[in-house]
Amino acid sequence: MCKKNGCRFTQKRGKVFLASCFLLLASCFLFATVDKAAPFEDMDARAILEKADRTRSPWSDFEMKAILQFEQRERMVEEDYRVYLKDGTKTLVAFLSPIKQRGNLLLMVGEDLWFYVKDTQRPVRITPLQRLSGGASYGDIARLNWSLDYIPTFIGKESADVGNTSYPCIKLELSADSKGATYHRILLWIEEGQYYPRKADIYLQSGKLIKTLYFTRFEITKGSPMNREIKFIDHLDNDKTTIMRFEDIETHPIPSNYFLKTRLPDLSREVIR
Amino acid sequence: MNIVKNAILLSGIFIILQPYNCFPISIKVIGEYEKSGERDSILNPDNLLNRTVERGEGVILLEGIREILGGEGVAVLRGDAQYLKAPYSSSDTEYQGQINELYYQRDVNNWTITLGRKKLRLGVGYSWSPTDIITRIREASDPEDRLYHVEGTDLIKLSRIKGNGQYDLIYFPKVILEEKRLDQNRFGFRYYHYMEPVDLSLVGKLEESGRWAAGINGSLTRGEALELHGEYLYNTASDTLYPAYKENPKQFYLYFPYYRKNIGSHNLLIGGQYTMKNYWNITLEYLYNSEGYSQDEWDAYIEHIRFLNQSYREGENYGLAISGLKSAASVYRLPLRDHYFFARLYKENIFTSISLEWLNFIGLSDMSGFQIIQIQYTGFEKYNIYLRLQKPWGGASTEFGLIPEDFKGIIGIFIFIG
Repeated sequence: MCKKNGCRFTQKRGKVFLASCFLLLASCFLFATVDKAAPFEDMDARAILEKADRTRSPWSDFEMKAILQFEQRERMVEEDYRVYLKDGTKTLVAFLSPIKQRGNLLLMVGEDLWFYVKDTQRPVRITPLQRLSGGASYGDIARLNWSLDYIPTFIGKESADVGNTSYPCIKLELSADSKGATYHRILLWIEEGQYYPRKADIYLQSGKLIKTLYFTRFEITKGSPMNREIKFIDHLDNDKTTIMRFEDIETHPIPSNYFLKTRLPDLSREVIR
Repeated sequence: MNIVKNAILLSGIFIILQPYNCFPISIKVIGEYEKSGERDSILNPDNLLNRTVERGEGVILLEGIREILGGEGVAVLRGDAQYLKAPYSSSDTEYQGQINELYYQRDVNNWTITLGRKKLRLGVGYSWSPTDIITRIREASDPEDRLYHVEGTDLIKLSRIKGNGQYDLIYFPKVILEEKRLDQNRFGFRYYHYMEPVDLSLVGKLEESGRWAAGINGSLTRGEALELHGEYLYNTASDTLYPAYKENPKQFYLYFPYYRKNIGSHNLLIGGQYTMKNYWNITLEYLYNSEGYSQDEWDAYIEHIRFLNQSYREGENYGLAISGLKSAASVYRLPLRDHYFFARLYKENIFTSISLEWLNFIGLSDMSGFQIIQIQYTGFEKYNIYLRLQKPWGGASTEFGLIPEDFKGIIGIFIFIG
């Protein structure tokens, strides 16, 4: 009996041992799978970011009017720009108003950003983070594809509240990877399923939160969903709000000569016509 | 002004005074008042040359653009009313009109043709651009030409854009409008190419007289906010007048011998600009001008001026001394020496809506120079106001020490009307 019992006990212990080994192996496999999942998630994160970018810049070549609204000395100010984008990497921004700035240009080719002042006839090198107007930086208007300049990492799933609506989102962390990047670090909420960017927290290298961007309006434009409005909250300036709207979108091949520095003096007149 | 010039001016006005909704028009009005402190420069003792001590100036700039024959017509007209006060002449207001630009331009595929008067900038320098061989735009004391003095060049230009490059062929004869004739045929070219992160241009010109010039310029970007640039130009001839330093300067009053050297000249500029993390923009440039006076030539020039001063002070050949000083002053033009350094610091919002610019130009041959500080308030919607302070420094016998004005203060207003 005892023997039998002993045998049973031994058999039982053997089964427990085998089960434990199985569980251990399974755990190892599971953990190994989780470990291996990180790069997979990263790859996924890039694909997700690219999908989100496509709602901000849906075509390779297009032009649009950008309108910036912000408060200055207790009154609302509106500034207009015409934006030409080509191949996702080249941008020309013509300043239409205010009248003081009319004819000035912003040129981004690859990772380099230039500001051309019409009266000085000389392009000046600037950084994308420099303030354009209100709470917007030059890079906010010159670069609509974050996937070009940042390494995305999957953080998790978290809802984002935009106005009165809460959106289930995928949360990504974007780390600057090129000199064309406007910001050092971005936490970005992208709506699940739709892949619309909904919210972005912008951080300085020091870790300080400087801005929050809300992507507030999406419309089907020329057959593609497109972000048509961004709300900037400037945490460095009493949480003042700046609205950037995109209108008059036209899709057509943009001439390559719009992105040559030698052409800027001509373009400063030509594109404001 | 003769009929031709009037006709051209009227065509510019025609382009500008079309209905506003047809095309953009902009009007800029600038008002300036300047007060200069006198300086007892040896080139201008007791302000003998009757230099202005007060200036009031109003400038209006009209700019219009209109679609014409599938291309665009551009007109930029400048009107100027200037009140000058000098010690030995009656104050008066002078009016002047000029056509800064008036051209027709049309793009066909990758070709562009331009016909008329246009400012054509080929160089990349900030304070000075040796390779601006078509239109000389840059001047160290006012690199941005704030009062729009610079007129364009009368030209026909054919450009072709190919990939990241641009080819320009330019015909720019010397036009004497008053006499309705072309004085001299001149041809220019530029080949520009962009290879990230480098912009490179080859430029050249050939004049009917046989003179020619050729050069190269380029810029290079490094990191997020640094740009380096350089220019070099070789010119087969020079217009600089050199003092005959082997002669005894005390032998001459009015007719001190100046001569032109029959040699080519080299001009070089190397510089860079950087935008710092706090958005201060700094530009530094080194300039080399092989046409500059050697030390012997400079010493002869100064010795002659000192001799004329002595004659003037002692009352000996008073009239001749004054004429000699005028003659010496007519030779004085910047840059007259060979090595220079330029620095500019600029920040847009040093305080809310206030920009600060500081320019410094130093002659390395004798360590004289001048500096300019400009503070501008940009907070108004349609106008800016500015204060510009300028001061030269250097000993009595240095290049910038010869400048007759001491401290100069300018207040101005820049009004934008659209």
